[in-house]
Amino acid sequence: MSLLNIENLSVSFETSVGLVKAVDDVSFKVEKDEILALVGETGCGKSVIANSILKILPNNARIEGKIIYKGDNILKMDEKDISSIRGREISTIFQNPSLSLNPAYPVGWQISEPLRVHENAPKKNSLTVAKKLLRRFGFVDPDHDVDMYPFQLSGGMNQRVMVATSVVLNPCLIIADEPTTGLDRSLIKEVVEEIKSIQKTNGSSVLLITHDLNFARAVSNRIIVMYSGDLVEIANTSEFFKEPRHPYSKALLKSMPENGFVPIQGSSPSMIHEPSGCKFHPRCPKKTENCSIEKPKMFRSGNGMVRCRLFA
Amino acid sequence: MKDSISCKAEEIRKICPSVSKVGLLLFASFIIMALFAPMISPYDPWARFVPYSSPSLEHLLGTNDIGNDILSELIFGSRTSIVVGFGAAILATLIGTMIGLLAGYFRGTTDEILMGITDVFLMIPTIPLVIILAAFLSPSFWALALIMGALWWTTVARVVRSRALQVREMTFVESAKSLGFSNAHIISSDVFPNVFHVVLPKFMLTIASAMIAEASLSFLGLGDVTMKSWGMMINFAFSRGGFLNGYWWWYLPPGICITLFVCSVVLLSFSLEENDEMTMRIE
Repeated sequence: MSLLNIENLSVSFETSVGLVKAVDDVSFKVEKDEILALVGETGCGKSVIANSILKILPNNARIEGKIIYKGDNILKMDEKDISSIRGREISTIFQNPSLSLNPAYPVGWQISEPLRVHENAPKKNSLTVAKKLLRRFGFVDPDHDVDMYPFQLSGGMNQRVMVATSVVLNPCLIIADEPTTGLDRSLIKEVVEEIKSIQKTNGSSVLLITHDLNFARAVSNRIIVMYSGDLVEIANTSEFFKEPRHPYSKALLKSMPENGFVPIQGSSPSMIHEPSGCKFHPRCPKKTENCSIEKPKMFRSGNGMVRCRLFA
Repeated sequence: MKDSISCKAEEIRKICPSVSKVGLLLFASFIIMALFAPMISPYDPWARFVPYSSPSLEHLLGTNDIGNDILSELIFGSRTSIVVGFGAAILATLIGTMIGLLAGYFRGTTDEILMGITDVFLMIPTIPLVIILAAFLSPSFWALALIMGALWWTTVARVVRSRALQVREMTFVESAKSLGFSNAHIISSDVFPNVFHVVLPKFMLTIASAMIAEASLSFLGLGDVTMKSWGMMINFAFSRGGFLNGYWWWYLPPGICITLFVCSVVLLSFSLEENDEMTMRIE
């Protein structure tokens, strides 16, 4: 049985200008001990999926489908049950580490906060755990660093504090939502190592949300490509970078600097008035007449799945 | 023109530490005076000596119409004024902070109900109501503090709410939610510590206005006659001929004390706000 099973998830937001369909009929699984990367351009619905797993979407969101975690449907749970899953079973690493930490408390206090809240750990023990974690994530002097405030640390150090906070209760699934935004190359490298080490030492699965393809390549086992709220391709990471299947994936890889920096023609479609048929067809170099009429299904191709008629 | 303005700002910033020091010094000396009144004051404020005597070595600030030593009265009077000021401010800040936090954090219906109540309270003219209540209830300074506290939480509530609205959207609140903390925990450990810096200056300003209100009510004769307070002293000086006969030692000291104490509180709260802006700039 897979750890997390998302079935036919659709999320839309009611706004004054109309219904925004952020996620459209998405199904995928997160297996035990894997690092799954969810990639796509901004606004394609990646973070909405992450937030619906934790049920922290705003009130105007309409959610349909099922999110099954260890056999229970998260979407059917009440606030109390989901609170016991958040942090303990599923935790998050947010983008922008310096803003994700409370400026009013020292970092050690914040790392150990989940222990005190969820496990009623006494203050002293919880701070010892925080020190251990700080040492594990490369802080040289944990006894001194536990008392530092987030604004006294660098962005990279805060990032490691965030990671420490999210693993303190040994969660089974960690959602990393754009953990590399605003970090430079060397720090990204650090994050790669951290995520790999979490997966190895804690045996947690990681759902990685990113638009940085190189980062996804360095970390993940499997990769899912999203376009305008749709899943367009699921593939093993190594295969995906050798031989992408969907025309969008191909175009995406070609737009990377090392592959020639070729931009994708056109711009992302509106989420309110979506194009008919395949959502990528207005920008697709290989479109046929049929593409604008009927939305293609997910077709099996090799080890992966792809939403394109070319693979029917 | 522009240069001179920036120059002024620069100067103000330079004076700022000393301004806050003066405020702190004044404030601390008044608090010490109130705390150790029995030890500092030369006589019992109710003891009678020769009435209407002008300042002398024996009575540094002279005596009043019934022969009470003015200096002793002044020192004991600080207790009433400070208790009313602090009592009203603590009550107002507590209520205001609670309501502001709840309204700002939960938004939606909670916000609208609580802010509606706040608007209603804002409509009530405080001083006239206090005058009416003081006239009907037995005038005691406890009641005065209670009434003012129960009416003056509105501005605190509004300021706290607007800051809480900002803080609730910050990423660390979202990250606290995703760690499964309860709303109560998030409010007390994530939102409150980050709105505290707007509460403190408001608290100080409320002390100042409560003290002025107490003095004015006492002056109008609606205060607690059995208690020595600065406002009461001026009231007696006014009604028993202190002003008419030019007994300046009777009415001037309590007036100066009220002014100085309120000034010290305002200076302190300004320097707190200035500090706050400094840290914001650094951020």
